[in-house]
Amino acid sequence: MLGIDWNFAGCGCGVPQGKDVEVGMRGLLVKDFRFALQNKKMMVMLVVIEAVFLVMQGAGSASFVMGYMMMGCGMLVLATITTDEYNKSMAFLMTLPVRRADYALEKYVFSFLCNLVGFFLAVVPYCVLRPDRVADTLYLAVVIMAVMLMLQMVMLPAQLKYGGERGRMVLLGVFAGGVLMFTWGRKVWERALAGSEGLQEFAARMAEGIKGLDAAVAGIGAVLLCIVCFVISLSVSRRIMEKKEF
Amino acid sequence: MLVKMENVEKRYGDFTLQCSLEVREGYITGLIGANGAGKSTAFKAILGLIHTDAGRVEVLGKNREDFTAADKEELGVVLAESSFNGMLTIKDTAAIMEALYRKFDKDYFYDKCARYGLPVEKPLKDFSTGMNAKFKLLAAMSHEARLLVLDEPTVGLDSVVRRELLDEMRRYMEKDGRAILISSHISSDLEGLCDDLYFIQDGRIQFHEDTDVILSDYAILKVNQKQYGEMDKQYIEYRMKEPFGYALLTKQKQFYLDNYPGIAVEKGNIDDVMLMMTRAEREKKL
Repeated sequence: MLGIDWNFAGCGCGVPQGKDVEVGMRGLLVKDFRFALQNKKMMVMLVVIEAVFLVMQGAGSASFVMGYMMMGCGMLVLATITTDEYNKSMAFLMTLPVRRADYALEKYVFSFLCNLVGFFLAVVPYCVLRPDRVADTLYLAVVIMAVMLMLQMVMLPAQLKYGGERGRMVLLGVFAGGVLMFTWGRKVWERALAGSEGLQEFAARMAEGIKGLDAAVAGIGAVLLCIVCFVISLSVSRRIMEKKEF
Repeated sequence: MLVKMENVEKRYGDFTLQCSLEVREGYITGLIGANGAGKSTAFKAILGLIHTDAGRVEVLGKNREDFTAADKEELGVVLAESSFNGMLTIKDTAAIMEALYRKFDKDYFYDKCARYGLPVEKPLKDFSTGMNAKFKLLAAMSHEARLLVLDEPTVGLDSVVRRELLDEMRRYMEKDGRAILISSHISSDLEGLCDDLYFIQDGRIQFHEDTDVILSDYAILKVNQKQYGEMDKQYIEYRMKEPFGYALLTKQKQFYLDNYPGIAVEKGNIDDVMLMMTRAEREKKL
């Protein structure tokens, strides 16, 4: 499916049986969830902050608080990579019955599960508070979750390649570069648009087309985009892990 | 053969590991050498933690490149500088190992932890060096591995606990089909434990011998200039200048005992052999 090698062959570590992947994955997930449980205080803090905002601002603060909540949960996966590197633990982890490719895949699975937990922690209080706006809340939460997941698709390979601290620096650089590119591209586009009637007509048609898109079609497009990003990001992460030395 | 390294090479800047080594079934094999000699690099090559530049590594009869996660269940590993994350507790690690190893013996693990006084709910980062060393070894021995690869497993332990853990290793070897590859700075541990020894220096294996042979046939001869001039030197391996004359390393202790009764002969031990090989090579290899 979509070119992904679900058997993880060619990683230089033998061809695993499905059972191997399952066992390795289960063990790594247990490790990361055990670590997450050590961060109970942080989770409780997040819930408290959400409650405070709810009391103070009602449902009006939904986008900020839900984003904050889901980010807090989603970022746990990055913390697990940092702690895996703590005391050079990665070398030992790679001696366990876990292949390098399993390690990369598990981080994506864990990331998705954390985002899912964040999703429910963020959504439930607002749905209880404003039962009349459940659909809006869910729509907002899905958009935030998609953004979080996309962000992590970029962050995970960087973290695996450069490690916790350096990875964050690299990401800052990438985002700063991205903003600069976007600003520059926008200026170039606006200049080109001003000088060409054909381009203006094309832009208008595009805008109309987007407006007229069915919500379901847009949703399916977003999911497909997420899947494509996941496949690319995972294969980059796997390659990084396979080349790594411990 | 549980481990077979054939002409394995790994280059790091100025340092090059060039290593051939074997660990036979039923054997405890020691790898000795100074810091930076290449012990850890050799271990990493066996464990697949680094990509080698040349040569072949076979573990449990299988090419290291073809190793699967299931094959890794047959290995128990202690690394000198790496273990489970320090935030985790023994209870956490038991849950992780239970999920990872089909043969993980939880009762054995907890029994042994209790026997060595290891608290199961305390984060590993709060353990003393000795407690950490015990935990790492017990974890490696808790899932019926066929091969234990132990890098400095007794470091930081007092002599009583060290002896207990060495006994654990001996007991571990009572089952057929197992082997241990171990490195240590404490030569007395290795003398009493290992069946054979490899000595590594500057990334190269300088010497491989059965421990019994070292202890029975190797000797340091202490001779003055006159004795040195008159003696038969065909069985002298290394020579080192000393204030009284020379210290000489031989593999034929009995020859010199029989033919040169006036010479001082000191029984060989690993420290002396290592010292002679390291120092004498710097001065002159005969």
